[in-house]
Amino acid sequence: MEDYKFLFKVVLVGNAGVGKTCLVRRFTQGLFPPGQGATIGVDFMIKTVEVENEKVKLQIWDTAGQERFRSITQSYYRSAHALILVYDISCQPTFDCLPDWLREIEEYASNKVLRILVGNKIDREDREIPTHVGEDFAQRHGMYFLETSAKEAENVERLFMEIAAELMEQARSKELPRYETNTTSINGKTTSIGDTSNCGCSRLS
Amino acid sequence: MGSRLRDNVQHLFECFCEVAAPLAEKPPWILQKYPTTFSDEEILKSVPKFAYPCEIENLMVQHFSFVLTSIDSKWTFGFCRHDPKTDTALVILSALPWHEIFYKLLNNIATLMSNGTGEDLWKFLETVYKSPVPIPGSSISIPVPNSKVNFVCQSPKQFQLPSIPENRNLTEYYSAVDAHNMMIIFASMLYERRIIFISKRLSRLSACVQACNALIYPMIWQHIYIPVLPLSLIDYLLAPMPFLIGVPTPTLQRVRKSDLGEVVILDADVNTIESPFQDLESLPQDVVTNLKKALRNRSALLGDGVSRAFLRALVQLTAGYRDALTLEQGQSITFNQNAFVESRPSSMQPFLRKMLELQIFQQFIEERLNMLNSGLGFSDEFEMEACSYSAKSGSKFMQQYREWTYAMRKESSAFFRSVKDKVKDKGKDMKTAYKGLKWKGRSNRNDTSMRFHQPRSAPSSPTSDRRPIDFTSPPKSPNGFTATTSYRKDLRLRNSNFTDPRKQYSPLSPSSPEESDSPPERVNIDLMQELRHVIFPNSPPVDRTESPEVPDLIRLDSTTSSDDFDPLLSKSSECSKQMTQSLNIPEMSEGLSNPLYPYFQPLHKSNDKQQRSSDSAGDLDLLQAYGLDFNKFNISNGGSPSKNSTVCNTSESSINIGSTFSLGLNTPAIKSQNNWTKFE
Repeated sequence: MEDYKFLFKVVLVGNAGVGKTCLVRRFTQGLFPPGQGATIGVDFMIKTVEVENEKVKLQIWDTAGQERFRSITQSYYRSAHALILVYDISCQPTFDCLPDWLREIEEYASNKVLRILVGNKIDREDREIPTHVGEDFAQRHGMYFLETSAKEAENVERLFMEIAAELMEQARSKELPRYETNTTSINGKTTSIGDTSNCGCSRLS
Repeated sequence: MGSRLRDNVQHLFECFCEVAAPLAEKPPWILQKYPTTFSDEEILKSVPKFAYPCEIENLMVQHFSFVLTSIDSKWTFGFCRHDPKTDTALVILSALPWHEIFYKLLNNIATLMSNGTGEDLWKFLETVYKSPVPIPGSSISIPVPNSKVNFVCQSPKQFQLPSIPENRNLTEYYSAVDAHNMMIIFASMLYERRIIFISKRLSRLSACVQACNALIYPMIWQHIYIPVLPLSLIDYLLAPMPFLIGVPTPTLQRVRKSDLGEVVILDADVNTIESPFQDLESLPQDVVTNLKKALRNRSALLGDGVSRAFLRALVQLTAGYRDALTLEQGQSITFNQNAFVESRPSSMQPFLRKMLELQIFQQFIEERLNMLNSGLGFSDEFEMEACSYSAKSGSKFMQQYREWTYAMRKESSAFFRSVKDKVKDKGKDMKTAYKGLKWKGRSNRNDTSMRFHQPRSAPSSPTSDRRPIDFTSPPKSPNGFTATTSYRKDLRLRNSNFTDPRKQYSPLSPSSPEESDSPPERVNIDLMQELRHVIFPNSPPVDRTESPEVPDLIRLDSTTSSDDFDPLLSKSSECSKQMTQSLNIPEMSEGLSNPLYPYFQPLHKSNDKQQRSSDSAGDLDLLQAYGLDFNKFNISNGGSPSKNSTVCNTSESSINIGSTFSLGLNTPAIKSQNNWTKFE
């Protein structure tokens, strides 16, 4: 296990077919060989990113076949740092299911967990969910919001970098267990990385 | 959705591989495989890694098992044999969790490899591969070339709890881990923790993981399950979701403790547990007390005593689910969570509320509802225990269920029919059949499917091979039971004098008969032999199949004409008649059948039988009034595919009935299904 300062676990949830695996693959492309999902029933991707000169290891867990659970219970989220709830902007039913997902998340996930709503597949022509509808929903439920296209690699990098940055900030402010305690450099407060000028990621909470 | 075992297993094994040990920088690789056409790349890529999960130092032949999980969450078992004399590992991949059988098969293969021709080996593998999977309780026998021994494969019987010492995994677990620690692990599994087992020996590691998984029956572990974790997959220990993973001790030392987060760690070599939780303490105390009491009575623990003790604990926790079922004529049975909690003693309620939130429990209820709604209520060990646990609610519910089933049958036999039809085209179209089945007060998520699965089998390893050796002259020892107590001490002692057994068996003689037919872990096996003599002085094997057969009376699939079949009204005298009829129906074919509980018949059933019958004599009378004879449920194989009851009767003798079975399994199965749907 290589050197890193922070380790964060991110779990993706959402209906089958919304592109969860594609998002992860896109983000980690070429950096970590496709995992063991097909043979041990769970898969994750790792990407180590640098935020404010600190190495942050992101573990993104994508459970093959979570759809077989009629409902997902607390045990599932127990030690995740962030939950990404994904829907497909070209598929109304995947959006309509969000309240169900959210109910379970709220019921079972710890309050500290970072929640992000992602509308995927913005490359599609046949959009059914306008951006503002997704945004509204996120706002109402205190989630971050972002639209992405795994296919066109749009906003994918940003999504995970935002998560890394946000989690790191939380960790620094001791909301999260620290993975290394000896070096606590509290330098910058900047939480966003890359260009923030046209940030599709609105902080709504 | 509960079961993680596959239905419709076509072959005894999927693939045999010989895997070369890693060399310096070169990772292990597959030398040869049978059938050569096996081409699942994902699996083939994984096999070498799992066969050599860490550096292995073998002084003696070692068997262990690993598990691969496919995308649909089903398990494939990998049985491995490492021999210090060779630098390859032999691996059998199978959908069947039959540890003892496949370990034995591996021994046969090893013998053939060391002193037979390649042709012999291939031929043998081919014969085994092409043999039909025996129906529960029966066996097939395949001659091993150049050898007097046959490979006997006995399919576990239904409803059999794993027992000591026949079940190797449970025996290993029981001898490595004391009762208290077993209880902690049991509790932590119910709480769906992240659980790690460690051991320096792969055989012990995989056995302990597989065994503890079997002890939560009728629950099924729904999460990550890796009995032996290869070093290269070490990062999976950081998974944020629940898991049960066996880790070679040196592997765990490479993980940062702080990254692991909250885990329960059992060291099976020294019998210690590290846990940040108070899981055992937070189980309802009377359940724990009873469990403790049951496990303290060592003399009763041989046979299925251990399994039954845990099963009873689960019964005590969950049997009340019946009081929370709503049966309304003409509608599907539903489960009311609040009623469930409130029906239980107040001391239990806090725990039960929590339990409702667990995947493992949701799966359980869902499956029970599926069973009930399809007319298959009350047919497994769990329900039997539940009946004897709570006679009153049991009989009350039984009455209601009887009425419900009756009404269902009368008014809407189409309901069952549609269930069955759907079950026939497994998978895709099942949703529609189950639209009606929803939990009360809890809307389904995105995908409203309540997929129906064949009632599942128990999670893990059945015992199998009744080694015929040395079983002739059991000394009569009235003090046999006292001797039991010293068993564990003995074992420990011997484990520390590990070199001893090897004196009597030279690993260098390649095909000593012992080696080929007994598990390599000489230490345990010696003890098991001794044990039998001491503990079971007089009890001859009891064969449940000898008793008259009575079908599971609620099997609605077991009749060719639903109109004249009312199982719940029929008196026991009519049962046998019904049975002959119902035997037409395929048990092994897909679809509704009794939940399999594929464990082998312990050799010494008599103790337990007595015990049970005295426990529940009162209930049984009552149940018999409804035509339900639970004592006999054990026996019924639920109807063997090949119609005739003779198959059942002869199942004990290991006859070579390969061809009969293939017919029995395939042709009639299909036919009767056709009959079934046609009559409407």
